Order: sequence, then C-alpha cells, then structure tokens
Amino acid sequence: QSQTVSGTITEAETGMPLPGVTVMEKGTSNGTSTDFDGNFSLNVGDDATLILSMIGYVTQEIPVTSGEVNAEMATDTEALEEVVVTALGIKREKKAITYSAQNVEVDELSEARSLNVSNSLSGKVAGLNFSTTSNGVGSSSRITLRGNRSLTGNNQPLYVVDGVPISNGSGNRNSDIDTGGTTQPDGISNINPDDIANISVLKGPSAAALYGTRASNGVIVITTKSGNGAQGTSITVSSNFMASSAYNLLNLQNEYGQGTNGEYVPNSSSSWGGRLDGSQVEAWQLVRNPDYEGPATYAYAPQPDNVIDFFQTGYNLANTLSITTGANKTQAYFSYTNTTAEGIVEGNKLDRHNANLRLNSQLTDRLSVDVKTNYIVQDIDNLLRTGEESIGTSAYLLPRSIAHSQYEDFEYLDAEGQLQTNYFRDEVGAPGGNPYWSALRNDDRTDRRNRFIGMASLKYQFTDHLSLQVRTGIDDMSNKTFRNRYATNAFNNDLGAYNEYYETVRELNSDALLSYDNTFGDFSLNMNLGANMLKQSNTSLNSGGVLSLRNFFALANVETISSTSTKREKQINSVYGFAQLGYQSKLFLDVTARNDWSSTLPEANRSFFYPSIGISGIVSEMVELPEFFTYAKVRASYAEVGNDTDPYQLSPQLSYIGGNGGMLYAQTTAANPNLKPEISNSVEFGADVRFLSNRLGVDFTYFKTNTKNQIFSINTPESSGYSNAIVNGGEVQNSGIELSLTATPVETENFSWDILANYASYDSEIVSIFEGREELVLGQGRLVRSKVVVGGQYGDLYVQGFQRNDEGEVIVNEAGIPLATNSFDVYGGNFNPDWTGGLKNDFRYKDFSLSFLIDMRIGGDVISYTQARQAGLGVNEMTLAGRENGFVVDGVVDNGDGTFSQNTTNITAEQYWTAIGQRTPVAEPFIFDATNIRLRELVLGYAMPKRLLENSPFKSVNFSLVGRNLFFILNEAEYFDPEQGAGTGNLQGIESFNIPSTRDYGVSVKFGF
Amino acid sequence: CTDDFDEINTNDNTLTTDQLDASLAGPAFASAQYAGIHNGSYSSPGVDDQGTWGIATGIISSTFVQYMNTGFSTERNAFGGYESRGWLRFYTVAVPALQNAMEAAEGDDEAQAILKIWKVFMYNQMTDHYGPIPYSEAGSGAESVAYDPQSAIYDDFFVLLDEADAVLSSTSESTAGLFQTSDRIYNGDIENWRIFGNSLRLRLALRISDVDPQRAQTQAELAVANGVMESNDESAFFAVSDITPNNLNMIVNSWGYFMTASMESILKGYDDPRMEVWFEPTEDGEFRGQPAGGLNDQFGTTEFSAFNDDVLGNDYRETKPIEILMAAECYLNRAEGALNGWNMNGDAESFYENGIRLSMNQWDVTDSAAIDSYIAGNSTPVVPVITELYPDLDLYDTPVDLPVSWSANEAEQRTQIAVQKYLALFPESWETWADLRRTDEQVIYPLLYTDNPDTGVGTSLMKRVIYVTNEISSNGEAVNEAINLLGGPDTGGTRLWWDVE
Repeated sequence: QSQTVSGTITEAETGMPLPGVTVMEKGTSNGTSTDFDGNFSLNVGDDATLILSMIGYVTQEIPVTSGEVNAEMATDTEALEEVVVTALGIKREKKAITYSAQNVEVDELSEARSLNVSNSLSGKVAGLNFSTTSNGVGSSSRITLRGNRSLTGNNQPLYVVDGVPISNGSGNRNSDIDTGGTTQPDGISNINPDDIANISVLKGPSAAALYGTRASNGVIVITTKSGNGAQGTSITVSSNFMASSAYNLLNLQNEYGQGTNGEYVPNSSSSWGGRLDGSQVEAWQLVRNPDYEGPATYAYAPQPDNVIDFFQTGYNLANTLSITTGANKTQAYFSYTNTTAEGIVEGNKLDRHNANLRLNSQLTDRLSVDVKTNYIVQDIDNLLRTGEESIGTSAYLLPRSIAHSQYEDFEYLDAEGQLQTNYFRDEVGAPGGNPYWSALRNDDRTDRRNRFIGMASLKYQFTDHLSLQVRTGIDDMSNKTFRNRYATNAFNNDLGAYNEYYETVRELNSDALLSYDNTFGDFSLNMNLGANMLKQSNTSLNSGGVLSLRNFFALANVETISSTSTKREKQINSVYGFAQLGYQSKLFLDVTARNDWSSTLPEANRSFFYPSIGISGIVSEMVELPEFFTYAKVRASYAEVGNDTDPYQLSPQLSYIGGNGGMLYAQTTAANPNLKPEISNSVEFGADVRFLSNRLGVDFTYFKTNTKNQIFSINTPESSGYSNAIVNGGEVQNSGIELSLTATPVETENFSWDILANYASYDSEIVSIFEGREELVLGQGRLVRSKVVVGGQYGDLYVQGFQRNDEGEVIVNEAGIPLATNSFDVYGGNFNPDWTGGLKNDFRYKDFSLSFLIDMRIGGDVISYTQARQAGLGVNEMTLAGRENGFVVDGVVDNGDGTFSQNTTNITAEQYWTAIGQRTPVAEPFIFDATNIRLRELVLGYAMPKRLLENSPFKSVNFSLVGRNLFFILNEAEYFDPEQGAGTGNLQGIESFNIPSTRDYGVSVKFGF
Repeated sequence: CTDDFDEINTNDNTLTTDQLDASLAGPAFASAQYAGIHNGSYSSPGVDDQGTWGIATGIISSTFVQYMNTGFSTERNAFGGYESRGWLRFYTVAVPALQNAMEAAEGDDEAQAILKIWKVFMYNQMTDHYGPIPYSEAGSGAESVAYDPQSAIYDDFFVLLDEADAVLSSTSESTAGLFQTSDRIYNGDIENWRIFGNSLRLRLALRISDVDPQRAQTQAELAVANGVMESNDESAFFAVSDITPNNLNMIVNSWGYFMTASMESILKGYDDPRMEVWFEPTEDGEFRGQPAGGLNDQFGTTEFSAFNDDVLGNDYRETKPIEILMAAECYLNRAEGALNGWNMNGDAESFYENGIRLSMNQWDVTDSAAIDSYIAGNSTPVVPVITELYPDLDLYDTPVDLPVSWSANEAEQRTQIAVQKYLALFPESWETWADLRRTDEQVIYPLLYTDNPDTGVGTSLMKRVIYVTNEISSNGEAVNEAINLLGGPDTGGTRLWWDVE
C-alpha cells in the first residue's frame, strides 16, 4: 500500500514558504525536498512518518494522517545547529566542520562603529591578533590569525565577501620602520558594516585549503545582506554618531624650557634650557619673522598642555538607508551609507559613500541568479604619516615652553607676501616643525578612491541533487593621491613641491562549481568539483617634482617632472574538488584537493597540488554521556596549502632611466629561475563540548603549522654584485592553542546574561632559514633591527645597546658618556604577545541590553622611538634627573690594557641624553612591555516594545549608547598605546611618533518601517 | 590555458639582460661613473636605494680628514654603520654597471680602454678604504667571493692602465662613439681619457712610493712622459643633473655642515682667498671653525661657519659639477715626485706654485697678483677663534707651522706640498685621506674625543675602514682570509699595504 502526501512547508516566524526543506519518510531512504514555493509531494507507505529537516531549523517528525501535510518550521535557536559560511560561500552546519571556525556577532559592527570593520574583530575571535596604524581616519589595520608564518611575505588573512575574494589593497604597506610613511587605506576598510549579515573566521590552512595560495593565513568570510526570501518591503533608517578624543598618555617634563646648556635659546629644538620660572624671554617668533607684531617677549613658563591641546575632538557620523523588498521569485536589498569623519588632527577627514544593490531571482524552476554591485567613493584629506616625518614628531618634540596659543596661528605672510610657517625653524621632519604646518601644509594630501565590487552568479539545478554554479567577481579599485608640499627652506623645497599618484588594483575571480548532494540511507554525500581563474593586475603612476612658481600646485608648474610607473600582473588557474561524507549526521569525513598553476613560478614548477583531510564526530550521539553533557564533538584535520610569489622574480632585469644620455642599472636582487612553491602543512585537533543544556560551552583547538620552502630574499655577499637573492628555504613552525568559552549564567524571560571568553597563545619557532644561514634580517630602521635566528622566535627585535665589558658593566668614554654598541646586536625583546584574550558579556533585561568587551594582550615588547627622541631633546620626564648638578654614570672606563676602572666623571643630563637619544638611539632605556587590557566596546541598547509602536509607522525602533576603547584597565607601556604601529607589514613592535589613540563614544538609532 | 603565463610574468617597465647591446654601453657607463664616485647618488631613480647612500663614503672620509663636521659619530672616529653603505652601493650598483658597460661595448677597443681606466679609478677608492677587497671575482654572482690582496689589485691597476694607454694613444678615433652622449665626464673624448689615465697612474705611483719606490718611480716617470693634466680644461668633473645631483650639496644644504677648526687654522693663517669662496662667516661676522670630535652640544649655541652655497651647488638645480681628478693635484704630485728625485720634467718649486695657481683658478680666484702674494706668503696657520670662547681647548699648537712660501728644507717642502694638496683636493675627500695616511704629514688637529677604543685609532687619523657586517655574515670565510691578507686586526687602526710608516 502506498499513498501520496503533499503540502506546503512555511517558516514559523514569517509564514513565508520555505524552499529546500528535506522531507524524508522515516526509516527509509525515500525522500524529497520542497520546491521554491515550499511545496512537496511524496509517495509514502502506510503509517508513515515524515521527517522534515533543514539547516538552521528544528527537525520535526510528523505522522501522516491525511494526504495533505502542512507544517511550519521553527528556527533552531540552539547554537548546536549554528551555520558557518565556509569556503566559496557554502553554508555548513557547524557540527560538520572539521576545523576551527568562529562566527562573529555582527550587531556591534554597526553600533559600536569603527571606520574600519576589521577593528571590530579584536577580542571576539580566539587567536586573532590585531594592530592598527596611526594614520588617523583612514588608518589601515593588521590582523594575523595564529601568528606569523611567512618570514617576509604577507601574514594577513584573505578577505572573502559573498564567496569572492576581495583585494585588501595594493600591498603598498606603510614602511614599518621608525621612519614610517603613508599608504593607501587597506581594502577591508571600505566594507560597510551595515551591509554585513555574517562574519565567519576560518583559522589556519585547514579551513582554507580551497582558496588556495592566499588562504594559508586563514580566511575572513563576510556575507552581506540580501533580500533572500523577502516578500513585501521593509525599510531601515539608522544613524550612528561617535565622538573621538585623544588619550593623554604623554610623558612630558614641565620644569625646563626651550634651549640648551640650561639657557633659553629661541631657535633651539631642544628643551635643555633654563628652569621655567615665568621670566620674560625674547619671542621665538622673531627668529624667522623679523616683522612679527606680537609681544617681543613672553613668559618662560610651563605649558603642560601644549601638546595635548593640539589634538581636537574627532567624530564619525554614519547615516544608512536600507531597503529590503521582494515579490514572488525576486528579492532585492539596497543600501546606501554616508560616512563622514574627522580625526583628532586638524584637517584629517574622511567622506565615504557606499551604495549596494543585491538582486536575486529564481528565473525558472531550475535557474536562479544572484547579482551584487557595490560602489564605494571615498575621499580622505590629509591621511597622516606615521613615523619620523609625521605630525607626531612635530607635536611630541615641541619645546616645553612654547604655548599652544603661540603656535596655533601657524603661518603668516612675510614682507615679500610669501607664506611662511610660524615657527623658529621651517623644516619639517625630525626634530619637527610647527605641528599645524606639518598637518596642513607640509604634506597637504588628498586621497580619492573609487571602488567597484561586483558579483554575478548563475545557478542551474539539473536535478534535486545536482547543480552547477557559475560566478564572476570583480574588485576594481582606483586610488588617486594629490600631495601639496608648501615651500620652506628645506632641501629641494624652496618653491614647494607637488605630486600625483594614481594606482589601480584589480582582481577578477571567475569560477564554476558543480555540486552533487544526496543521501543514501544513513549516509549523506556532498561532492563538488570546481575551477577558478584569478587575475590580478595593479598599476601605478607617480608624477611630480619641485615647483617653478611658488606654492602653485599643478603638474604644469612642476619644473622637471619626474615620473615612474609600475605594472604588475599575475594569474592563477586552479581546479579543485571537495567532498563530505556523513554518517547518521554524527560522523563526517571531509577531503579536499586543489591544483594551482601560477604565472609567477617557472614553467617546471608552475603547477602544484595540495590536499586536505578532516574528520569530525559527534561523540554525544555515539556514546552515552553523563546527563550534564549536552553535546560533544571532536575533530581533526590535516591540510597542505601551496603558495606562489610575486611577479617578475625569475629573470634578471635592468632599469633604464632616460635623460642626459640615459642611465642603466642592474637589479640588486638576484633573480631565481628555479623557484618552487611554498608549502604550509598544518594539523589541528579540536573539541566542542556543551554542558547543562547549552548553558556552558567550551571549544578547544590545538594547531601546528609548518611553512616550508618559503620564498624570500636572503642577503648575499654584496661583492657578488647582488645584495640579495631570491631563494626557497626557511621553515617556520607555529603551534598553539585556542580556547573559546560560552556561558549563559542566567536566562529568564526578562533577564539573560551571556558570556563569551576567548584565549589563545602560540609559539613560533624558526626551524631553518637557508643552507648555511643561521639568521636573516627582516628589516632595520634607526631604532631596531628585526631578525630571525634559527631556534629563535619570529618577531625578535635587536637594538643598539650600551657597550659592556665581560662583567656586563657599561663602558663609558673618557668624558663619562656611555658608548653605544657599533651595531644592532643587543636583544631588545619580541613583539609577539604571550597570549591574547577577550571577554564579552551581554546582558538583556526586558527591552534593554548591555554588552561590553574587554580585550587583552599580555606580554610582548614594543620599543619607543618617540621616547628616545624626546629624551634626546630633553622633553620627557626621564630627563629631569641631573639637570642642575649632573650625575655620574654607573659604568667603567676602558684603561686600554684589558682592565677597567670605575667611572667618576660627572656629566649633565643633557650630555647623557643627547648621546643616548640621538637619531640612532641607544634603545635599551626605551623598551616597554606591550601588555595591555582595555575596555574595547560598550553598548547599551534599548529596543522600543512592539506595543508602543502599534499605532506608529515604525516596525521597530532601537537606540543605543556606544563606546569604543573607553579606557585601559592596564597599560604597561604607559606613554602610548602599544596597539598602534608604524605600519601593517611584518615588522611590528615599534612605536614611532604615533598620534594618540582615541576613546570613541556615541549614539546609534535605528528605525524600521 | 597557461600559454600566456610567461608574457604575464614579464615586467614591461624593465629591460632584460639579453637586450644588452651597444646602445646601452653609454647608459651603463654613466651609472658606473655616478655610483663609482664617492659623493655620487644618494638614491638613483629606479634602483632600490635602501641604505645605498653614496655619501656614506663621503661622510667617512670627509669627517676623517676634517673637511667638514657632520655631527655624525664618524666625526669621533666611529664608523656608525656608514662603512657598509658605500660598500653596498659600490658592489651592487657601480660594479654591475661597469660589467654591463663592458659587455655592451664588446668589440669596441676605445670604449673598453676607457672603461678600464674607470675601473682603476673606482676600485682604487675602494681598496684604499678597506685594504684587501673583492676584485678579480667581484660581481661574479657567486655565493662566496674571494678578496684580493691590495698589492695584487695595484698590480692589475698598472696593467689595465698600460692596456688602455696603448689603445688610446694609437687609435685614429678622437671620440669613443658609444660614450659621446652618456659619458658625463669627457663625452667620450679619447685624448682627455688618455691624459686622465696617466694622471691616475701618477697618483697611484705616489701611493706606492713608500712600499715599492722602484716601481713608483718607473710608473710616475711613464705617466709624465705619456702626459698628465696640465690645465684646468683637462680636469675631470662629473656633470650633475637633476637625477644625479651632487650628494655633498644635499647634506651640506639640508643638514648644515660646518667648517672645521683645522681648515680655519690653515686658511685664515695663509689669508687664503679660497676661504671666502668655500665658507660663509657667522652672523657675528667671524669665520669660525668647529674643532673635530667634539661631544654633542659641547659648544652649545656657538655658531660656526657654514659652507657657501656654491661650493657644492646650492640645490639640486645647480650645475656645479663634482670634482673627480684635478690638474692642480697633478702638479702637486709632480712636485713630490721631483723631491723624490724622479724625472718629472720640471722642478718641484714650480710644480708646487703651478698647483696652487690652478687650484685658485679652479675656484675662480683669478687675480694673479693676489695669487702671487699668496704663494710668496710668510704667514703661518693660526689658532682657531673658538679658543676665545673655550680657552681650555687644546688647540694652541697648530698642526702646521710653515708658511706657503717654498721652504729651503726638503722635509718642510714635503709638508708644504701635503698642505696644498689638502686644500686643492677639497671638497672631495677620499684621495685626501689616502694621501694623509701615506705621507703621515700632520695637517689637521687630533680629535677632541674618540668613540673608537681600537689600538692605533684613538684621536688620530683613522687608518682604514672596517669590513661590513653583511659580508661577514654571508661571506665569512673570505673575510677571514682578507683579514689575514690585511696583516692586522679588522679595525680602523690597521695600516694598509702601501701605508708604510
């Protein structure tokens, strides 16, 4: 006997038809799934029971009592059935995942808003390490997952939006060393937080084997909102306003003023002058401006706020309109966000427009289309420089007696009518100039970005089990930078300079994916076969020079235009396959395989293959566990990921420069025609255990990653004609643990309390570098040398220290001044934290909610160039000792015969610190512990109850008060925020004139119609 | 579909080595010239310029010989890492450029001859800084590069100069065509290069005059017989451009380097007309030199005389060329040769006077009466005026106590020649440094302080530059062998092969 049952399955919450629900006859392999309108029809036996299941919904069993079965599917609120968006945008039940993946709450992204989405990830993901540059509004950030694995290459994760990788910028990173620099803001900063529906962080190569070369550092998968399933129209209008104020962590002395040798000198950049006794001294303005009309003298008095007063209150205002609409088989999501922001430095502004349109439509029963266009226009004024030539240099090195009111009027017209800076010197750069001139005139810069991110996807469902998806993604970004440098007496700048920089960064991803999905009795099988073509193409043109007519900023006015251009292209073709076999929804086996062909490698090594395998088992469903276990899952995986390199490293090149008969240079890095791909191997084990009906959960992961055959350049004897050679070599091993804890201590109808805690620590060991090489210098500035040594850790920093004898005593010269080591050979610390963690608490009481996030970074070192230079100029507090009567350095004098005698020579603080804190400082006194714990986010929200809205046009109204970085609970570095670095490259642990970080607070309102 | 991968991986903005042909010989030579002079390029466009400041060698020798005070630690006989910058630039830019020029000019005898002369010039500077250096294997691309003994390098210098002279003195060409537009020194003029080669030979002959007097005489006499520079028209200058500026001018103009007390003592004592050309008075109207080797801030806010804008060109637009080898030096070299008893085709005194005269003319001092009275001058160097403000400074015993007027005593004549050469070579310092080391003439004050405790250094004139850390880490065995060849520790206190006491 048999009967036919048919019916419609709808979603309980919305009443909308639910397509794709699996309808099975219990105890058989007989089944079907609902069509687009939620309808199904199935022949079943007598007394049959239907099992309705779908990812994200509670599975139900319904006995068949008539020919029509209509059911509502309730959303599964239990985290167990959490869905993770994995590679290629494919959604997977979290329980079937064989590697570590963590979802990020996205609500706070738009509330406790940051200009750069990636700033909102810190503390929320175990093992995610975060730092930012101090470029003001428009800053880039640096994220690493599980540490640094590449010696000299990129260590940041890949960002994937809606299944397609996006560019994170040109890779034109800030120079990392103390001299700093600027760069175009990173690519992720353009993504509009209001559009984000989901963020999954896939850590480590296992998670990412399918994205190929760039995914060895993990993947951050972002899914944006779409109108999926919507019928009817809903409109949301929201506004978010945040104010930013500078942390005042400055370490300044307020007892001695501008000058040298204990006396006031109006043109001195130092604060080694006399005691600030309020006496009248000659106005420093007269040094460069004989026509200065202000008072000829002023009070030589402490100016404790002269630096902090330079920084203003910044803001960030974002207004968003979003519309979701749908009718029948077509849905659309549209959003527009305008963001305006001003930083804490005058003139540093951002204006951004994000327009986003997403359309999906079921064209026929079998063919569906999904299209997205995202257009971003962004203007940034005066993106700040980091490092030695930043405005930080001008502000932090201000002589201690110059009042803010004195330098606030930062320019004047001289007798010839020419614009001049109001300062005692007119060169900018160390040791600084007028801070306002630095900010507004020295490098008056505008960055304009236009960016299009588009995606079009067609999916054809051949049968219920077999489908083909074809997709193309485009990320096309153009940056233009205009830089006006006003005339000063500095070298090459007596009439000013002008520069234009154009850059295009384009990434094209095309892929096809054939998927087969079926169940056979107890087994479920999902198989996919795909192909991808990635084309990257970057170009740049840099043009400009010194001006002919003073301060007229146009290319036509550049006396001799100097132009350079670059073009870099790269293509990777890939085929890949992956399959998952499930047994009774409790045991899963994952395998993947991928082969890449990269244009950057020589023909013989161009093709490389890498596989991965993983298993996961739901222990709680396989064996009987004590009752307090709700759920237990274990997983293990092994993965390899191959990696290629940058273009043009295979053959020697010659640079030709025209003019004056031409000049021809050879490259100083030796090419390598035999490069092989890099390979990362990783293993990880994990467990996900829930207790007490999900009130408590622990997710634990151990990982180990070995990256071998790394492509990097080593120093070669320069006498060979090359300073470097590109080689394959080097192995870095990272291993560590990640722990996430979730808890719900209280859950009642009116009140709930949720906790999320993250902890991660890892070790990185340099296993090998290159045959015969025990060490490799990764970068060097005036302050530190970053060097890896076999057996050592990634991130070791070496500095110039004090010369010491065998007893470790400091050697001083005959004048009583300590001698510096000749090179950067003194170990100064390591920039990696010992561990990082986050603690997030969410409280809800009726219609109110409160959440706060504490972000912790424990251990690691950071070396401060600012403190060193401030000491050299007598600006900071440590220079107060010995001002009046001097001191004797605790050290010894070399007698020249192998013996040493105790130093007895008295020197002044000025003699001591000018020797220690010079431009290439003795860095030992300026090493700080980077440990810090901060209140990262605070959100207090109120959702207006529905009953109050019944007679209003609103469907929902939400208010929140928000704060970011409100205060440090602990900051060992004391005088600066150790999270800020000079750049986003691999050389971290350097603080160099970073502008203060900010505490941000504001309000957010959201209206739904 | 990987057919076009090779094309994708080709850089459109660079040339490849298989495109190296005769048309690139001149541009490659121009690069070898600019990177091969020690005050050349601080950053050449298109070249990775990280750390490759040609000024490094300039900072080193300029401060060692007290041509200028820098505020850098090199001023107190430290190396401060500057020892490696010049090395980097020389071996990774100048040497490959010269090799490319030689390869591109293959088959062109005249061009090859000129390149050989330039090879001698640029390597001479390097070996006289460090001692044994990579020479025969330099630029080989090998993982390990041997260092050659300095004596062997000098042997090859003379061979190269012989070969070059043979070609250039017998050719019917007047211009090396490949170099006509790119040679920034002589535009490929064959006679100029021939004379340059022999002037260089004379310089080298004097350098080895203590260690190998016999060969020194032969080479010096050969040089003069072949013809050395006799007028300023023949002097060698590098023509700067906006992308190849004079590096010293950049540091002088942007960082304000000062006249030294040693310079002041001599120039002021002799009432030298060049003083006002080279330096400018302080705001209080004084020509005040700064003692070398002072501590940071030792002189507080005391003003010292800065360089005049036009000594080195006042900014990048200046066309002030860089001095390479001057006719004045040739006369002073001949004067010393004559004292040695060599046939220099004239007498020492007239060479000495001619050297002074040409140096004055070179700096646009053309009043012959003034020059005559300078040459006849009997005044002697003075105590620097800084002692008025800092009377405790030990500057009262001036290093030079002879007048300009030609002494009757041969030892004094040698000192007078050394002093005039010290002035004639200004502002390019590396030859000055080599010459002061060889002659051991005391022309400058000892340093006030030293940061270098090595034996033989202290506050006196540095003897050499130490080997660079990158070579030690990547080519360690060869460096150890070089230290053996050096015959002393790798410090600034070990004398070079030709520097015989």
